[in-house]
Amino acid sequence: MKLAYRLLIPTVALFTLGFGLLFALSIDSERTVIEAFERKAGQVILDQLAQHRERRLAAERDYLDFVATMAAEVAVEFVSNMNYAGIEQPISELLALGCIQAVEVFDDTTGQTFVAAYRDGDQTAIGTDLPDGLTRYHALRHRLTGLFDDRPVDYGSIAIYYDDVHLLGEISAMERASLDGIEQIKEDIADRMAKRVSFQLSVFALAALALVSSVFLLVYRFVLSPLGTLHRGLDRFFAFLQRQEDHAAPIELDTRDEFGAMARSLNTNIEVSARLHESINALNATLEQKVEERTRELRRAKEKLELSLDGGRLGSFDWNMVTNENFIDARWAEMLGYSLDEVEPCYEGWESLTHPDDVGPALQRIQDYLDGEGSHFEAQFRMRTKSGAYRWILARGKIVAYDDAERPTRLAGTHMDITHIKETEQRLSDTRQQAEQALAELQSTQAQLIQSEKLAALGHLIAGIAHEINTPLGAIKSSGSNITHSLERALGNLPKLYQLFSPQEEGLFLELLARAPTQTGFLTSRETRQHTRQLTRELEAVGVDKPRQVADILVQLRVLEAPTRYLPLIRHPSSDFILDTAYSVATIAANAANINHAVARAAKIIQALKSFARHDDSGERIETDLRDNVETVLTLYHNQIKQNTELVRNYAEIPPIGCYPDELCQVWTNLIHNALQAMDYRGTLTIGIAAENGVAVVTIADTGAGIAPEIRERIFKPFFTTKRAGEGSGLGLDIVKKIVAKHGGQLELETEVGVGTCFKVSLPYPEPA
Amino acid sequence: MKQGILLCVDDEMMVLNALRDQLKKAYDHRHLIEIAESAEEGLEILDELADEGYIPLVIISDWLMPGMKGDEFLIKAHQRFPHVIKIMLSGQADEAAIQRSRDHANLHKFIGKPWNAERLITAIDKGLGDFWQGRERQSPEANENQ
Repeated sequence: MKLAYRLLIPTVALFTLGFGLLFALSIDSERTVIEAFERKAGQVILDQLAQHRERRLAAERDYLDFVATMAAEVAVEFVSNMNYAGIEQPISELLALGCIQAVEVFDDTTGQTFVAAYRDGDQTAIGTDLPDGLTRYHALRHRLTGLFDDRPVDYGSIAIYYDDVHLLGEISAMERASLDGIEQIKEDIADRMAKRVSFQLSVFALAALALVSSVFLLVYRFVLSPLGTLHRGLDRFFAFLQRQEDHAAPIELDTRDEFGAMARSLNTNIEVSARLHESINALNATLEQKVEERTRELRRAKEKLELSLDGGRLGSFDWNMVTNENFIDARWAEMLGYSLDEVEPCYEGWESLTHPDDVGPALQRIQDYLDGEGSHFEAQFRMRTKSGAYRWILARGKIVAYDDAERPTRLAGTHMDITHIKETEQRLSDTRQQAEQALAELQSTQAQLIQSEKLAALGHLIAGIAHEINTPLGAIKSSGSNITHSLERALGNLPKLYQLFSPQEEGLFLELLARAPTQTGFLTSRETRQHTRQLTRELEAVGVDKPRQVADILVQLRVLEAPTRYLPLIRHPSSDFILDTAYSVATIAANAANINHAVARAAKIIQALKSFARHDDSGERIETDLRDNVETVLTLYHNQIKQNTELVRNYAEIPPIGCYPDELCQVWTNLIHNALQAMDYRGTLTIGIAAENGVAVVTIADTGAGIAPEIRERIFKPFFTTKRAGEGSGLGLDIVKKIVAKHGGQLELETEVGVGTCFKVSLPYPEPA
Repeated sequence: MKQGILLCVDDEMMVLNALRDQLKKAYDHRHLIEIAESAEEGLEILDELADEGYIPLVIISDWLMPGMKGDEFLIKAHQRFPHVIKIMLSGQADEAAIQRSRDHANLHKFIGKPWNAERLITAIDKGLGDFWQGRERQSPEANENQ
């Protein structure tokens, strides 16, 4: 803010405040004086009014008293004469006198009212009785005294009732008028006072304004204006110093006060500074020129230096192929730690320092160049330094001279030390090799991981599989011993038997033996029992002894109906011996069949184990029937499934598919294993195999707990498992996903909590190659 | 003459076939050899034959079978025929199941698969020996009761 404002605003504020205060004080004292006067004047007037009222009321009473006295003198005449009629007139007239309300004349002689008159509205009533309520009026009583025989006699009294309401009203009206007049006067005074106040205010304001203006004008004239001049002059001077103006103008202020003195002394300074400044400007101009020149010199020097440095990294040679002289420079030698004179300046000088393995290839490069390959010759070779270490050298060169027959005579060029580049290349190559090796190891580890997951699953199954194998083994072992025993018995019996038989019986016996069971089909235990029961009844019917035992043997010999055909044998005297022998022979056949059956079962399990555990590294797809592939796994799981799980197979006839069967086995294993665990081995496991649109589809559905939505995404992640520690690796579904992906297939999941889960594996048939 | 029953229960027909011939060889004519492919069928046979007047003597049962497991079967059979000699013949039975059979079915013997015929017969013979001994002691009382 400018100084002027900074001065003006507080000055105006101060004056306004001062004048305001003065004015308020004077107004206040004046008002006090006026109010005091008013109070005093008011009191005097009120006093005078009160005195006036008293006087008026006293005059009224005096007047009425006089009236009453007169009335009493008149009334005495009538009372003394007992003139009732005559008194009515004067008494009535009394009532006409304004304020008299009633008159009563009392006769002491009779002790009764002589006459009474009162106002009744506008009428005058006259009689001997007065109405009630006169007590509200003032009363004047006078005795009625007269002379009778010159003696004063008291005849009675007269009472005049009057009121002063009218009078009081009159007085009050007058008083009001007086007070109103006083109010009027007061208002006039206030009005006049207000006018005076506004007038005074205007005068004060004008005075204040005049005062402020004059003070400001004085300040402006003697302080602000010189200051402004000084300021402008200094501004111009500074502008000159900053080269915004050409001349340094002096400050034009020539007063005889302190500002003038200041301006004069500043002017002296400005003059001196201006001169100095001009000389500095002149110097500056020269300096800039000098700096520019110096910069140019420095740049030239730097360029030279760079050139020389660049030249320093390269050694040069110039080999005369005719004279075998090889002119090399110092840098060429220094690159290898030699001084120039330590190197033989000929071809052999180079060859003796070059790594023997690299000489041949380098010469070959030269030859290639001479044969017209490339615009110049370039070769990399190792050269031995003085310390014995080798440095990699990049040589570049060109033919610089030819003889008359256009044959090259001189090869000139440069040597550059590229050891560090070579080393970097080597490190890079090493790193790449390490990475490749790590990758290979990783892939191999992954393959091992998958394989060990498979074997872990197998480990889980192994107890059940052992049982599966033990069952046929047990059967084989027992059947073997049964055969041995039966064979002994049959071989022992047969010769004796034939001696007992008639030819007919022999034929019947042989027929019986021929029925012995082959390996095709066992009877179930229930069927066996039904047949035995039937035969027992039939034999009983024909009176056979021990029918049940005989029936038993006949059923074992597959005689399922018409047992009576063999009655000749059954009723034979040596029937027990015959039947026992026949049974022994049948046992041999039956147990042999049993062994065959058991062996086939064991072989199937072993085969399943084999195909399961196999790890095919060939990487080639094999045409496989998916039903066999799935059955392999089911065989291994047979023991686990049969406990409480119902297995439903919905297999369609589908063509074999080119795949990696051992890896698919692992897919089925994981999915079936999960399914069984999901339903705690109780429920229905449904396996579907079908093909549609060139895609084989295998579905594995359980009736288990389902998969909660919050973990559906995560179940495919490696190491995710809901099983207790040690039960599952958490790799199962991750591996399934990888294997299915390897087949270019898809793995889909449908699940509902509380209903079950279905995994769908879709495997496209590979395009024929 | 009353005949005894030797009952074999296993879900594998090949095992039953082998067992039956083994037992026939050892006890032919003396006892009836019956086979059942499940525990449920085994209970049916026991009921049927007992009604026909046969005396259940020995039960040889597998443990791991579809449906009712061996221990449960033996316990049920034990409730009906407490005197019967019970043998478990299994390639895979958990310890708890064997213990349950011992506690609640008076299991006579557990034999693993593959089994030795002689051991099996010896075990049955021993059981039968104890059984007859017990009956002989009891028979006078039984006669008195009649």
